[in-house]
Amino acid sequence: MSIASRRALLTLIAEAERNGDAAALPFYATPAAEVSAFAARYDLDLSFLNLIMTFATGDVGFWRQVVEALPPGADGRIAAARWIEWLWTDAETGLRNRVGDAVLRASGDRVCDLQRRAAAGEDVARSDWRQVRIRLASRDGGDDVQAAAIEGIAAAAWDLGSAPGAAADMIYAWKAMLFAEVGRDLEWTAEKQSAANERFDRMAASARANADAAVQQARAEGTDVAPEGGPIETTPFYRDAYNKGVADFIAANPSDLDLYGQRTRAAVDNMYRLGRDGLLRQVASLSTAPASMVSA
Amino acid sequence: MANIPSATDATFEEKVLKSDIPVLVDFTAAWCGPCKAMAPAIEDLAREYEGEAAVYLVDIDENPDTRHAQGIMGVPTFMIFNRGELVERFTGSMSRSKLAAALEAAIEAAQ
Repeated sequence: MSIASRRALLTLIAEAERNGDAAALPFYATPAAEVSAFAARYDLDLSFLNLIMTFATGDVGFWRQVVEALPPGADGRIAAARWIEWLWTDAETGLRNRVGDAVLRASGDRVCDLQRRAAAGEDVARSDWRQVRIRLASRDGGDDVQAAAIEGIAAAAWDLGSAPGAAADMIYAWKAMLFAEVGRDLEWTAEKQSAANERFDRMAASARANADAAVQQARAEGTDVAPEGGPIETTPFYRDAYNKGVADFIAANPSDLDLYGQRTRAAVDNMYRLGRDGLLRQVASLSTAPASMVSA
Repeated sequence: MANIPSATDATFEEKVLKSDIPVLVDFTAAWCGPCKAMAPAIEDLAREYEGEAAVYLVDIDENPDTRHAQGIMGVPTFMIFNRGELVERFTGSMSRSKLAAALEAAIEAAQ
């Protein structure tokens, strides 16, 4: 990213911060052609942009952190490749630690090796990527946790130049792995999930009733609960009343059936925190390009 | 997804069911956010397997006959056909590697 592109993107981010609206920044449902155009406009590697988009989820502050950490002229593709390797090998988070099969671990290591070489500019043959994907798919994935970890590294077994969404795909497999770990730890069964679903339906009905009653009461007292118009369910007033209904229901009906939802939500929050930190570290590790390239 | 050809009620049989090579069909809709999110992955797959497998989009709103015939209950739904036979079916968002593995298996079986 050149200095001029960096300045232009930081201006766009500042505008989004001022307006409290991240719509100018791409997110998961932005059409691919618009994402590519954004990458070209701001001189960003597309695979790197996909990672930022996935982790930002509309948080302008994260965009600012990444762009400010990006050394002028640095190649985001290298950060994406290093992030893949980090997620595979990290001592705490690493998917590799969840894989017991030595052959599968070696195949995962091979993916990181190919990514490193490709990011360094080597022309890695299409057949090399395909071979490693086939090796990863051809062995029994083992339990749900290991299978999801393998799915994660297989998701990254693509040339990021021709499949720029591959690094971001890893995040979905990572999430599935964390869900599998929660399920394993809680000995979660289909019966428990079914009971949890029923409980959720009752909780939602109770929360809706609470919110509807709050709206009625507020209107009777002359309060405009939807000053900006639109469906009542989308207003902060309704949302707050609904959330209070949920909290009241849980307080009145404590149950272990809520554990799976609580722990998976916590795991996802933690995943985003770790993933963002991991990406920021890879960005900070990039070196500045020579001045002649930076100003180009 | 400008780069992926479409199959329609009128062409589904010819393009998909009578194809000599495996076919991945992406059942989609203009209003489907997850379908849009999957679009780049589908384009990658079409590029990766060009000549070995075909990839088509089917808009379920514009092609109700195909939607009913294939029993599409939600989008995105992905189906892989090999010589007219359905060999894999996935509903919901999924990774390109899972789709790729299924497509690679279909390509291998077709050879």
